[in-house]
Amino acid sequence: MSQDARDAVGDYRYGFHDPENATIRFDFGLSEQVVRDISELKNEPEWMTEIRVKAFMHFISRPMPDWGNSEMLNSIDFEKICYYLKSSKGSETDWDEVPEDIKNTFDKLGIPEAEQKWLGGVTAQYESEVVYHSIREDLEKQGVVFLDMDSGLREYEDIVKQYFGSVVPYSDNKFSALNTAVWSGGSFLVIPEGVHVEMPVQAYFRINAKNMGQFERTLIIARPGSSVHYIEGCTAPTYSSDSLHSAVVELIAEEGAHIRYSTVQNWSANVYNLVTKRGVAYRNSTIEWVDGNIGSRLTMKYPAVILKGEGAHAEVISVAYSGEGQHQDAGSKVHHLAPNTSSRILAKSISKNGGRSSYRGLVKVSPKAHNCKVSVVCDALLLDEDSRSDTYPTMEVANQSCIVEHEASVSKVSGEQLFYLMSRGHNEEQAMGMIINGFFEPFTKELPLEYASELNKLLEMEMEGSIG
Amino acid sequence: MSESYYATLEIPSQALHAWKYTPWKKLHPTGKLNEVPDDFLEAEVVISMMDGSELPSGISLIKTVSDDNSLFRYDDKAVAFLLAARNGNTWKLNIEENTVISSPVFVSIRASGHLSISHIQVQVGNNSDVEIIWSLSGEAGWFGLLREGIIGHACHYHEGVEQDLSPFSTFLRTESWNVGRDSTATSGLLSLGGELVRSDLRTTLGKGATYKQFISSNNKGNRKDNHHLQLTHPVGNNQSELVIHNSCDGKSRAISTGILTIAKGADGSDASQIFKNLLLSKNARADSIPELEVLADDVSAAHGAASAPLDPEQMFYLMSRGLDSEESESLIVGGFLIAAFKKLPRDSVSDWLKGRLTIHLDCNLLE
Repeated sequence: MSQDARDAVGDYRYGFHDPENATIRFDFGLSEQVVRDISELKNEPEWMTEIRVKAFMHFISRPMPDWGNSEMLNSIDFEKICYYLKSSKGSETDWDEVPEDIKNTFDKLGIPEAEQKWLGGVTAQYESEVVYHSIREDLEKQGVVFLDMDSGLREYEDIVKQYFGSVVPYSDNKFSALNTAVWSGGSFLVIPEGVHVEMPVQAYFRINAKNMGQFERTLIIARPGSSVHYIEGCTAPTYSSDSLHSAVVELIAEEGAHIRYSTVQNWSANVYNLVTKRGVAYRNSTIEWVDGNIGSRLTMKYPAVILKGEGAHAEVISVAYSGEGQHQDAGSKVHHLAPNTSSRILAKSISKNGGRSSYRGLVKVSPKAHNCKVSVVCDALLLDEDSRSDTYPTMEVANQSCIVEHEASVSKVSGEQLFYLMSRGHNEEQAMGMIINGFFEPFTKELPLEYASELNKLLEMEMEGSIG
Repeated sequence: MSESYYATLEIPSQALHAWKYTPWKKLHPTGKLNEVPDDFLEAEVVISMMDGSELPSGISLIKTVSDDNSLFRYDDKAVAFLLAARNGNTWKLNIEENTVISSPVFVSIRASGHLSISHIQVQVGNNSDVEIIWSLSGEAGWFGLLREGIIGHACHYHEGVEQDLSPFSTFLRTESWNVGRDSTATSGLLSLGGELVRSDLRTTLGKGATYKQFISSNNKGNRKDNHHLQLTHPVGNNQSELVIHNSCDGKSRAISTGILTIAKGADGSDASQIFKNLLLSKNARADSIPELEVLADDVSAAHGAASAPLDPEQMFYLMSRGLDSEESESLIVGGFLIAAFKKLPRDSVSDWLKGRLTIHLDCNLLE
């Protein structure tokens, strides 16, 4: 590691990085030619190239959003981002064949160990291409398709053509257009009818290169009566220049299916994390988003569920932690389009050292969504006087028979709770850490043990030195 | 403020929180968005005492003419429009320092004609204790009301506002209030009239101040009632509370947007917003957006919102005692709307609002 990089990395826990060992790297900046070149390099079908070009045209024609943190958004220089970088020669199926420097990175993050123990499969995103991919044999026997998105397009073109952009069209917003134009990598997961994937399936995304944009595209289709838990984790080395992560995730839960999508996002504090995540839930299906936002400079992420079929259910649990210079603008959207649908949103945030957390949510009940039930709860903790917490919930109810509830609160850590714990021998820092772990408990209990313990450790590290 | 200044302001984007649901083009009386018509009639404003006594010394209502006397301190297309339309005319309700009265003051504002306008400034002197009932009525096709107030230090100001304009009126209301140090102000609003109503009510609290706003809105037919409420705590150790109850029948729509801002350093602020909606028909609609912006840590800020249909158990209970379904529904709606006023501290204000609501609902039953 060079001295510059070491200086830039600072004391960030995952702030190591590997020397860039790129085999293909595009120049900085975006143009129609870059979009066409990416598509050509991947040997994509004509229709995908056309979608990419249309999306690029849409991206350049749309203004930057004028809501949220406009100041931070407008500071993104799209001309200083590299839109494609291929790090290894291709997708690997055996861990031993993964290049050593890349493997070292994942070793530090504990991926192989986790996989050996209990993970159903690992797809590790390293810059723009999937470098490692494995899936347990029993899942393959059940007919589960778990590929990187590029391979998915090659091997299952008809399915990708049918569903790509069907949940998040490129015209949805400026950043979904950007993603559609330059997407690379991501996961393609199809669970056949009636198959229950017992173990969580995991993908690990990581930005390594300076000024690298990462634009993965994930498509998960759960056929009728199937279920899956997909886990996505993010951690990136710290660099002094800003990086951009702009993913699109599309979920399709067919009748009676169940998809749980868990994310622990721990980008370093210079990454713009502008992600569009949305799922469509058909009759009696369930989509759950479990979303943890710890890192990044600016996160704008509002996992959404469209409840399209009768009896469908949506569940969103999200937590956000904002430290110095960070703005976590997260939330959730649920559209109730069908009768007897239900949704529950629980959002929790902590702001400290001048950080800013915002909950921005929408619950929309259409006139045909009879007898639906909605519950939204937002809680925020402010740990010091320089921090900020905002809540922007929107509830649009156009059906008489539904029951919609929303509650939110903002407060500081109660002095009584601190006193109680300190009177039992904990110092203030420990007591504060315990209270915060308890505050996030509804989120951590939904995560697999390994993730939950990592999250608790991360929070403990973030809390170090925060008292006094 | 002139028409030329109004024309320089941009038409508010619907991306803005305050303008999302009722765009300016729907509210403008003629549709020529950068023009201010010159044929506004001034609404009739009359002051009296509720008990029929003489107006006590220390309270006065006078009309002034000046182009430069507004206290509004923010650029807003609607405010600029109303300030240009009023043609410099302003009613000033002045309550001198140390004024304490036992009976409420009654202020009637009656809007007539095709286009009507009124600009009212309320100045409450330090250490005063007053109750004011405001009655807004009339058959104007379009009525614009600008109301602004400064409540001095250590005051008690309690008001009830009944808005019972013609069911076909468009009503645009913008208000700006400052509640002074250690003062307590409460406002109960009963919103009944108008077909398209937009109210933008903004209040700023001083140190140690308490401000409570209670709103009941009864919506039926095609009525659309949009309340935008901003409460700002620039300093701390104060308290604000906002309660809105909307009932929606027919194809009506209730929209409640609130921004509660607690500024950096405003420690000791205690603020809450509660929005409740009762949906009575399949085509009714209610939108609630209670927002919080909190920049201080030693505060308590909370909001809640709920939308639900009539409780069938309550209906069954009333109907099993001999009431028909319409009477039962009216009783439940009345109870729901009156509940918004239960924390009004002065009986004279809350009783008057309850009485007006009861009359209104009884009249609805007869229709």
